[in-house]
Formats: sequence, structure tokens, C-alpha cells
Amino acid sequence: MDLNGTLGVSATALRAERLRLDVIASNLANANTTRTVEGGPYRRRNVVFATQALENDFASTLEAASDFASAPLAEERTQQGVAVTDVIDDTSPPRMVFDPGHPDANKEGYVAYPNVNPVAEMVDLMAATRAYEANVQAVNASRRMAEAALAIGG
Amino acid sequence: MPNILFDPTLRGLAETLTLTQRRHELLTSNLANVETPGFRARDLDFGSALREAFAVHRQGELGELDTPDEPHVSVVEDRSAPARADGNTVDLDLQMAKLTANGTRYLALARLLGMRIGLVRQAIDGGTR
Amino acid sequence: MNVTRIVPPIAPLTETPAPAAAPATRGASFANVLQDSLKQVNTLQGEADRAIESLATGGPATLHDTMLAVEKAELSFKLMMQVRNKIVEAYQEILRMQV
Repeated sequence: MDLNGTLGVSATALRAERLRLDVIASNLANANTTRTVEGGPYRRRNVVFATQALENDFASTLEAASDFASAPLAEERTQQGVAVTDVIDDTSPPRMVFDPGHPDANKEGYVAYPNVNPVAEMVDLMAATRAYEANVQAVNASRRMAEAALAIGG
Repeated sequence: MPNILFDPTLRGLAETLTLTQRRHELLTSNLANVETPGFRARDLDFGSALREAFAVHRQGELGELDTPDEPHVSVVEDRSAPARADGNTVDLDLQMAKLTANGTRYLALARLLGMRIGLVRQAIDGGTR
Repeated sequence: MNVTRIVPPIAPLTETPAPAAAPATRGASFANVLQDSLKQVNTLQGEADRAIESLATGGPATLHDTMLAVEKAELSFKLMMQVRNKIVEAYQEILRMQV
């Protein structure tokens, strides 16, 4: 009993941003991992976001009722959530650092470090956090509004 | 004798609440997609729709039990903010501000509706209580 | 004495009202007011039921519309009861009259 599923929409955002935060945390934690199980340095990972329409919105209810000649277009569906459709590897080349004494140095004496830029990751971290918090606010707003509607009866 | 249960203000309030709720759905979707590449922010094209919601009822064009057509409000692209590099037009701060303002409006309307209903209730109870 | 000649008989509730000859002649008699009240109760109860079902099954009804519909149904019922009570009171008042 939330305002037509808005809680569901916000929930998808919270889930997606959490996943993104996990990936960023993994990138930061492995910024200097020169040796992974698969061989080679850690590869930076990134999430792919895509819009995901929720099924319980008014538009799809109208379609289901099929009393209406023209169903609303996809763009008019009010309830559009988000989802992480993929977690992909960043294919940019690793950072080569000259360090012949390092156990993972190659023949030329270079060590391949992960293609993780901590500063860039921090920027992403802040963006993901802000997005997460904004959607928490949206949840609170939906909740307060639903409570206000329930109080109409006094 | 005008029927107190069909007060045009009640209907106007209810319709405005519905419009406010639809807008809340759009704004929530905008915020959910703040990081989605290529997502275009949306809003309702309110314009005169709000005034319509009240005017139609007040003029008494409708019979007591008629349901009017909903005022025409369309979902439009929100062009308040420029697109970022990935094509996303959701400005987080702007959308948050809209969400808050719209939410407050909803709370106010719901409260007013409750108070108006309370008045009707008092009018009916008034004789015996 | 015959009370029914002083107070017009209240029409049975199940009877559908005959169309008035002209709207202007339809006075605000107790019978008419009560009948209108009952019709309204029926209508609003139906609307409330539909709204509740729609809300419960994820249909298009909004929360505020449903709350409003339920409130109006309850209030129309109260109104009808008040009307009924007034009629009964008036009837009893008349019966008490010494002639």
C-alpha cells in the first residue's frame, strides 16, 4: 500500500546503487593486486545500469483491463525503476610500473598494476552514495504520503 | 438543496491528489534512474490542469453522480537540466527539490481533504452529539 | 382518528419512485428525502466496495480515492440514519398529540 508502487521503484534504485558500491569497494580494495587467481593483475570492474519498467503501474493495469482502445506507450509508464544488467571488466590496459625486484615483474622488469584509479573510484563512490541517499529520501516521502492518505478518514 | 457529500471542493481535492501522486511516481522514477545512461528526466505538464480540476466541478456542469473526464495532463520530458556526457538529464538536486515540494503539497492536500470530511461529519453528527 | 390522513404514508423502501410529473412539483417531503438518502447510500457503498477491491488487488484505485470513497459511504449512511431518526421522532411527536 504505497503510492502505486513507488516504494518498489525506489527499492530497485537502492539495490542497484548498493551493487555499484560493492563493485567500487572491490576496485578500491584491489587497487594494488598484481596477482589474481586468473593470472595477471586485478581488472577494474564497472556496473551497467538500465531502466527497468515495473509491472504494477497504472499503465500496465490499464492494458490488463483491456477496456481501453489505446494502451499507454512505454514512455508513458510512470513507474520506471533501474537495474544492474551487467558487471563488466574495464578493458583499458594495466598500469605498468618499473620495479624489477618485484616478484610479479615481467621480463622487462615492469609490474602490471590494476587499471584502477583510486581518485576516479572515489568520485564514483560519492555519486553512488548521493544517489543511494536520494532514493532513501524518496522512500521516506512515499511513506509519509501514504500515511497522510490513510489519515484522511480521521 | 446542495448535497454536502458532493462538495465540489472534495472532488477538486481528490483529483489534485491524484495528479500529485502521478507526479510523485515520475519524480521517484527520475531519482531511481539518476545514474542510468541516456535516461531523460520526466515531469507532468501541469499547466492549467490543476485549475481545471476545480473549475469543472464548481461551474456545476456535472450532475451530482457524474464522473468528469480527468483533466488532460501529459507526461513530458523535463528539460530543466542539460544532458550529461552519457545523455542522462536527471539533475539530482533539482529532482530532490521537486520531490520534496510535491510531497509537501500532497501532505497539505490530504490534510485539507481530511479536515473537509471532518466538517461534513460534524454537520451530520451535529444534531445528536 | 386516522393518523394517516395527517401524515402522508412513507412509501415502502423497495418501491422505485414514479417519475415526477415535473421536477418542480417534487417537494422535500420526508418520504422523498429518505428515499434519496437510501439511493445515495447504495450508490456510495457500491463505489466504496469497488474502490476497496481495486486497491486490494493492485488495480488503478488510488489510496486517497479509496479512503474518500469509504468515508463518504459511511457518512451517507449516518446521514440516512439521521433522516430516519428525525422522521420517527416527528411521527412519534404527532402520535403524542392530544386531540
